[in-house]
Amino acid sequence: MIAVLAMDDISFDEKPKMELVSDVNISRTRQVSGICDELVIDVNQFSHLYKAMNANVELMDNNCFFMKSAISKLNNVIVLEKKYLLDENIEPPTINVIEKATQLINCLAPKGIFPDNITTSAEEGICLSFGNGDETMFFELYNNGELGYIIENKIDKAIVENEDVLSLSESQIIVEDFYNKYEIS
Amino acid sequence: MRFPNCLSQKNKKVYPETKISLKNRMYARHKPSVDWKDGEEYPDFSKIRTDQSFNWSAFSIPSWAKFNDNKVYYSDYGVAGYSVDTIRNVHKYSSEFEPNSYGVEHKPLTYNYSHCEIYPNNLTKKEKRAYRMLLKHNCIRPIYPRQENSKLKILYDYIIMFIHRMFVVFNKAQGTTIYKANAAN
Repeated sequence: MIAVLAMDDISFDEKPKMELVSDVNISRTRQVSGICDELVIDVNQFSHLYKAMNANVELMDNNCFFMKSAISKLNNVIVLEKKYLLDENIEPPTINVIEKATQLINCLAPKGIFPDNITTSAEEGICLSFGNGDETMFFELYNNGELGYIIENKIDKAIVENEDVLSLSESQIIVEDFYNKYEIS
Repeated sequence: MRFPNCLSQKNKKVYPETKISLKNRMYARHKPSVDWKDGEEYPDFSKIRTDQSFNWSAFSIPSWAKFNDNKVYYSDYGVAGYSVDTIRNVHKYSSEFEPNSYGVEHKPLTYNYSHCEIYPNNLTKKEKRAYRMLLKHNCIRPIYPRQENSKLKILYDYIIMFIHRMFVVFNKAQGTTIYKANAAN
């Protein structure tokens, strides 16, 4: 699992060190002015580390690869869309929202659930989309701390569900339930 | 495309909301790859805004929506249309909305006489999600991203614009300022 922290001595010029770690414990964070151009992981606080960057090290499971891809995409989207958002007078995702999105991706990864798409939201935050058959869930994490999701049926062009969510733990359950909705028992 | 002089305001009158016909459309530009992914039928849900700016079909062809407020033309942008009937009557599509709660008002800019905006903007996140999804499901797609209309199509668009202008001229107060009264409440 991955921990993403804003290090106290973060430097925007430093090349990020992307490493996979287990035993997530997102502890130290701080509000940085503006948005981090790159996500930096502090690996020093965790035990049971394993490094997937080294090609000689066998990955524990495929989920690590997909989780790394998801986190990388999140990072890229935030950096690439920042100028566009500012031009459109939309506030880019805050550090808190980025952390929450990463936490949610972390929590879903062991279940083999990864977002099909990660984008910034026109409502100021991050949007994670998950597909399941004809339905797509858009899960949004807003800069003001609110969470919510909407599910559409692409074929019927209808809204299936639209609710606010109170916590990340509830978010995890909701996304898992969406994925298990059509599971053959 | 050269900026059309008729799109400049030049002390032309501002139309009251009652003159905006339900048969009119509102055109909005969407950035390729970010707002509207290549190959997709609709703009991405995460990038549809409730405070979207629109070009009124009575005074603009779809291609003119690619001009920004400073007369810069974004040739690769896509343009989606949204019917005024959909914008005003979302309660027909979802029980989450009350009748006559939303409207669109004519707010010309210096270099965009056709400029309009949806109101009210004090929706909850949940209401905004539903509204954005309804716009997505009911959008008309005059121009896909990275596509330019042919001269014949542009001629057709001019004819449509004049027909839509006739709807405005002969429009008998469709809806009243009840939209704003409800919004104020």
